[in-house]
Amino acid sequence: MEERVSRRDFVRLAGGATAFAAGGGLGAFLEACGGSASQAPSKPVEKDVTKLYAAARKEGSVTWWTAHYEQSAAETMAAAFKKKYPGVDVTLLRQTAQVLYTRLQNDLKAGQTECDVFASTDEGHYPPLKKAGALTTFTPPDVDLLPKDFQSLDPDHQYYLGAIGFVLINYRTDKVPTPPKSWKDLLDPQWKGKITTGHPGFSGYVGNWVLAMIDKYSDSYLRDLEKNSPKINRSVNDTVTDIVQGERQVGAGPDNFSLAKKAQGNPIDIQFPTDDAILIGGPVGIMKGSQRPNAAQLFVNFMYSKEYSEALVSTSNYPLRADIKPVAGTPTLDKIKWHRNKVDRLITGVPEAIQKWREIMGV
Amino acid sequence: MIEIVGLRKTYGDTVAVDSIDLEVRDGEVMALLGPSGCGKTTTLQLLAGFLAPDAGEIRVGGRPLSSPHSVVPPERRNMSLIFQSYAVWPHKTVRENVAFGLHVRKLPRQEIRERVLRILDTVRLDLLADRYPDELSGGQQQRVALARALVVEPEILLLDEPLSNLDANLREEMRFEIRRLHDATGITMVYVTHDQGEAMVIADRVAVMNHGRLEQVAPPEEVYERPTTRFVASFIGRTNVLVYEPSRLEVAQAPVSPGKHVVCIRPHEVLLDEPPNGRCNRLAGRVVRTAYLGETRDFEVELDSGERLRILAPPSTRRTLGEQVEVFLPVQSCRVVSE
Amino acid sequence: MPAVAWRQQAGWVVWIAAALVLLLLVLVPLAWLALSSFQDPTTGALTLRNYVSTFSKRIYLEPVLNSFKLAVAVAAIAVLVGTPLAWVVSRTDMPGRRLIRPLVLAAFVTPSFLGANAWIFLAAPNSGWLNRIWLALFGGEHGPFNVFSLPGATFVIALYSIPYTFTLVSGTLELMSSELEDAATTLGSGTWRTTWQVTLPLALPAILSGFLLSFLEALELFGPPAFLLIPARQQVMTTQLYLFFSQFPPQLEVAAAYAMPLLLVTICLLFFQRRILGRRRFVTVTGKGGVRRLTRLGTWRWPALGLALIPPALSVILPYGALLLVSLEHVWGNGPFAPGNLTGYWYRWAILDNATTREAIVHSLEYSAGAATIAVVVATLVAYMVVRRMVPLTSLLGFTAMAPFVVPGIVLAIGFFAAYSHPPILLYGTAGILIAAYSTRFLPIAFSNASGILRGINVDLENAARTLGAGRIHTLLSVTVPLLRTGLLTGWLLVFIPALRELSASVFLFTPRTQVVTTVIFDFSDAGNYEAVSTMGVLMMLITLLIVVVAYRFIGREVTRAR
Repeated sequence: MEERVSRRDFVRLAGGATAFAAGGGLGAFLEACGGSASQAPSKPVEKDVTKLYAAARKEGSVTWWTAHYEQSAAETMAAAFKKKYPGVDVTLLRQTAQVLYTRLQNDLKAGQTECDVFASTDEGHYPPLKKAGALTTFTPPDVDLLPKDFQSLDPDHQYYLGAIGFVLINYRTDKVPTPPKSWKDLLDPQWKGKITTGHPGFSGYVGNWVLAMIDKYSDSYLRDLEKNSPKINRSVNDTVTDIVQGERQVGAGPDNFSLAKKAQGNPIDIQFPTDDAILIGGPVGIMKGSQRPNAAQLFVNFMYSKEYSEALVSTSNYPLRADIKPVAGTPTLDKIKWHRNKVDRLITGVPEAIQKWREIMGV
Repeated sequence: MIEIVGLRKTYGDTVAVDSIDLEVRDGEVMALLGPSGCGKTTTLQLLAGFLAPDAGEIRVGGRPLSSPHSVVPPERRNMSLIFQSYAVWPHKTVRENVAFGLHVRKLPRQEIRERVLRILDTVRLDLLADRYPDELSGGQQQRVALARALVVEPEILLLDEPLSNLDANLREEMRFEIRRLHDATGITMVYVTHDQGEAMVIADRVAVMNHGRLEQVAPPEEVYERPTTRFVASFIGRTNVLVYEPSRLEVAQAPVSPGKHVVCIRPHEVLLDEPPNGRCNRLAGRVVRTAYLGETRDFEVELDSGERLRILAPPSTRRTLGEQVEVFLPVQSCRVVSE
Repeated sequence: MPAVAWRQQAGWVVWIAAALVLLLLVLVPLAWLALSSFQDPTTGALTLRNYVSTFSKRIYLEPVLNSFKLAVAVAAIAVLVGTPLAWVVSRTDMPGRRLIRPLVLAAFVTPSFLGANAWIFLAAPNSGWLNRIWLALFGGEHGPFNVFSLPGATFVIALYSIPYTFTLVSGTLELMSSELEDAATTLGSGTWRTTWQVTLPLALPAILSGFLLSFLEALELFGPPAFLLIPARQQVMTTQLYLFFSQFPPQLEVAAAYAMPLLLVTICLLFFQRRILGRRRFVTVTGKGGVRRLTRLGTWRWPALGLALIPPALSVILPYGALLLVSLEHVWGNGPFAPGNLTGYWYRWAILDNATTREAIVHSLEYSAGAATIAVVVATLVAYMVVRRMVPLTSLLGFTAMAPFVVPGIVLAIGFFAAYSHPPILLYGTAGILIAAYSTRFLPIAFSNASGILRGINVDLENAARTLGAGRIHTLLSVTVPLLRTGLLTGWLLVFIPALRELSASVFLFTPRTQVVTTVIFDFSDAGNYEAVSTMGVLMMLITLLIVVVAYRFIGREVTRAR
């Protein structure tokens, strides 16, 4: 085992950005190791990144643009990184995915960006970035510590999984004794005037959900939903606000924010729908022109650490590591029925979904 | 010496200044006199350099200052200007107002202080040196403006109806004051006014303007006694205007210039009693108005020709309303002027 | 008409610099915007397709209609409420008049989207406190108030537009000498008729300006429509523009095409205003002082006060009460009565613990102050050139200075982005682009203010200095500027305050290092952190009020000095 560790070590530390031309075999080998690590009952071992850390310290900081979490949770993750790797600062920009993406595109048109790590919730943002050659090819040393299904989001190794989030059913615990069990249930007339959602044009999470519903149930889902007069806001988090405030009672909302509110003592809870929770695999990539490539890699790698997943759970987010238990009461990944939109479908589907939504919902 | 040659200024279709020629000698007070709209203020603005002429030239001491192509800006002309609105700066004290021009010329502080003191003394504002303008009366403010203008010892002082915002008594007093200042400094002055009394008191020569043209330029006595045009005759002092018919009226001097003429005679020159000597024209008429004014008696007589004569007679003269009378017009007083 | 033929003077440089800055701030972004609207997104070739695609779809035309409905309604309410309020405060003996002004000021410094958030707390159909109180008192299914509607949004936006009309009209009314009204009274006209036929018509320019200002502002607001009208299923032009700009792929060119009509409409409106007011004379300030007597209200005194307090109550007291309450709750969902929930935690957090909020406050103050200074300097120089007719084509200069008025904030931001996010002038990512955007947006206000007061200065005062040998710049500095001082300070505040509460341009141009209070608040509301939203809102209002109070003390002292 030790031999293999050191060889892997060497390859990764030497390569960094390129070196997978001979790739396939090595990649499969690594994957196999990674896979076995996550399925083995023994504790996963994180790689030694001392050299990477030293190089990162010289760079001094990393700029992380993320739509994965809300502000204070993102700050918690940044703080966890800084605690583990003192001397490397984190400059954080938290915005919705669409806004981040637009800003990034505009920056790239202008020829420069200060973003090092780009973490959007919309996987559809990454292929165009790849096509424009804006992303670095790399492999985080600890990527094999992820659940197998998520270890290689991108066959070209230009982006990886950064976050797991769900769009599922939120509901008000004191007003709703029996919450809807599935998305289909939401169409029931008993929920008329009681539903709240976001808007796919303003939120990537919502875009994902709307696309998934159209793919599952065709446009008629939206039409029937519209008959129930949902309150439409902008962000997926607005759902939680509406429920906590008491403005509406059920909604298509996120898992993390609801659980955070629940932890504060608010009367809200989540329900994983029987016809699939929509899993948003928020990717993460490193900008090619980044002035701080080592810090960026260190940061992305840190996402697969125990500390990161623990910090995630502490902020009511879903952990990336399978060996870290999610928020109490939430099932582990293998027990959840989930659906994830494929990236090709996302790219063509979400704009269409937005158009359909706008036509059917009228806004 | 100021030379104004062929100066012309138009605003669209209106001609404000219609090709005038004027000379102002060194040390002279030249009054530009005329009704509002006659072009006198425009002429002054052209002189000061705030406007550019459309034609003609302005020279001072032989040096060209204004022409259609180039105008020396006001700050370089060394001509001070007194405004109708005084333009005394409200945010500066009297002393600061007066010292301004000297500061611009970067004179040493001691000299500034001395000169300011001297001029304030001259205009009798020395006790108010540290007041603000809104604490002063109109007359005092105007004196501040004068002090400010004179302390820089300009070549030329321009005054734009400086007294029209003052009340009557003050105006009279200030007229003499300005003349006194002129005599003390010997500065060349161009004085714009619509008030002929002012012009008569202050000026060495009066330039009477009407519709952008100069009607007559002459010393006050001449302008009054020997007006060359009807306008001048009516504008300066009161006058009666009669149709010029040599057969009817004998005049002091027959006209030499071509064109239409009329006869002018001042109200106090028309007599109701025959004078002992001198040749007189004798006309018949009827009294249509009388008024007793204390110092004189004011009559209006309608002649047989239909013309009306205004007569200022000694208070002892007695004629009644409607009475047929004879009026006597001494030949010497019948002046022929162009229309 | 050219006053003086030019000679080479050092002073030239200043004037040219001012004109150049004007060009860069106004014409360049607008030119880029116009150009983008005709460009194909991928090839850059010129095309009309952007216009065709936006204006042929119903789904894009409806927001246009909604925007105009909103703007007209808001402007109408602002004028119908603001005018009587101004009259009753400026020209009657209503008790408590002096109370109304600071309240109106507090409304003026409030960003309307903050007010929208506060009104959500108050009037959301199911959870709004007003509705809950109503239900508790009167029972029933639903409370009567629904802020998530066009009437609701109109109401909220109008509340924060009233200060404009109020200020403009009361300013005019205060200068009006009573003699004008006396003339009517001696002819037998009663109070009502006099007010209708003499007083208000003379205030017509101010009323019309108030209408126009409110209309234009409502047309270009982003925050309140985003919060209140999307749930009401109504898009407006600004939210639609946001969607264009932030969609995938982003549609800058289409956004530009969509925005152009907004410009054209505004230009038309300004044109009409000039026509309507054009020939009539509205001189009310004779300069001879005149007595300003107050109209007696008699038995109406106290009822008038009651009515006059309603707008401030709705725009300031209720909303800030709501915000204050939420800001003092540790966990908002639990309500103020939960034990231990009332705390100053969030204030401590915002000021001491949280670097982002602290920096944002500092940035807001810095950028707004910078923008106000730039705007006032440029506007004064340009206004001077225009009012004193120093150069030919002064009307073109004046128009350029007023042009940003017609550009919605969001559109200006897009233009700025297009123009200054690449060499030769790269401002994007710096504080510079925000300061420049704010300066430009509010330049028209500074310019109107400066030209107004410049016109009030007798040109003789300047000419006197020139005859004494001072050049134009020296005259400007030693005569004109001291006289303008008070007016300039007011002009500075007129830019500083709106810049502080600006959102629609900021939201496009900021970056992590250049956050301002409004963008931070907006982010918090997106993330559902309403405790932070309320806290920052209250903090911002307090800071702004403090600055304004200090500034007015300062102005007041200036005014009592010799003038």
